[in-house]
Amino acid sequence: MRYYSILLLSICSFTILQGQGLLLPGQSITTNCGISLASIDITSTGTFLGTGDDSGFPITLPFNFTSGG
Amino acid sequence: MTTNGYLSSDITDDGPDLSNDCPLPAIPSTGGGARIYLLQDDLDVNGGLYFQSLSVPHPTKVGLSSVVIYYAGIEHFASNAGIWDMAIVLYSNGDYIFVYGPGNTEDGSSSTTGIQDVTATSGLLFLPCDTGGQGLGTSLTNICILGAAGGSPIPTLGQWGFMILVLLLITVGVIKARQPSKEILFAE
Repeated sequence: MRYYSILLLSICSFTILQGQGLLLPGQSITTNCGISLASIDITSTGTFLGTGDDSGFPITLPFNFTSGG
Repeated sequence: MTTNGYLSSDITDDGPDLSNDCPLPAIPSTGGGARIYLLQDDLDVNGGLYFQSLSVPHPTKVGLSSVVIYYAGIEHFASNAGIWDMAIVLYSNGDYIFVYGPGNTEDGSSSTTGIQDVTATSGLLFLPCDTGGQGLGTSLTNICILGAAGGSPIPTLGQWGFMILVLLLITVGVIKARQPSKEILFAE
């Protein structure tokens, strides 16, 4: 029973952690998920916004992007 | 989106915040909004900022829309710490991926990578800020914030966790039910 309790507690804690703070429920942080820079290089196809220093460019996303928080 | 390596939900934030916010949460020195810090520092964007709706395969889900925001030919202001590209992929379910090319030899020693809410009261660092040796110059290619529900037939980690929890509760219940009750009887 002691081991079941420890396991249950671990899973419960993990689930709660996922739902708080700035992550959406279920989200976790990992590295190297297989997206290479070359595969998303849009410098020849994307909308050029500008260059420079200390500048901002407004963009409109095609969907409602919601992150946690 | 700003040349200094962060995205803000405040469309009036025109990007002058060149001093990286560290640690998080932190009141931005200029501008505001909820922020995604891909790599905030005083940066010069020489190759251009680009934006495009692009179908980038999600590592675990299908049926999601995505956009790419791409920084080309960046360097730290008045520094010889290399030139590199970086990008962020935003998915319609709220997941996102930071993508870094090699070349940033400053390697995180004066930058911030993380997120912060609109009130600057909650923040989360994905890399230690103002700390070198993060692999940004050579080996670190992705930081992936994945697992939000939506758009997939594959159960997310949260759903798996819930299913395992239910199974464990049932198992514990069965074990308890099958245990013989131990009653101590005293003879008169």
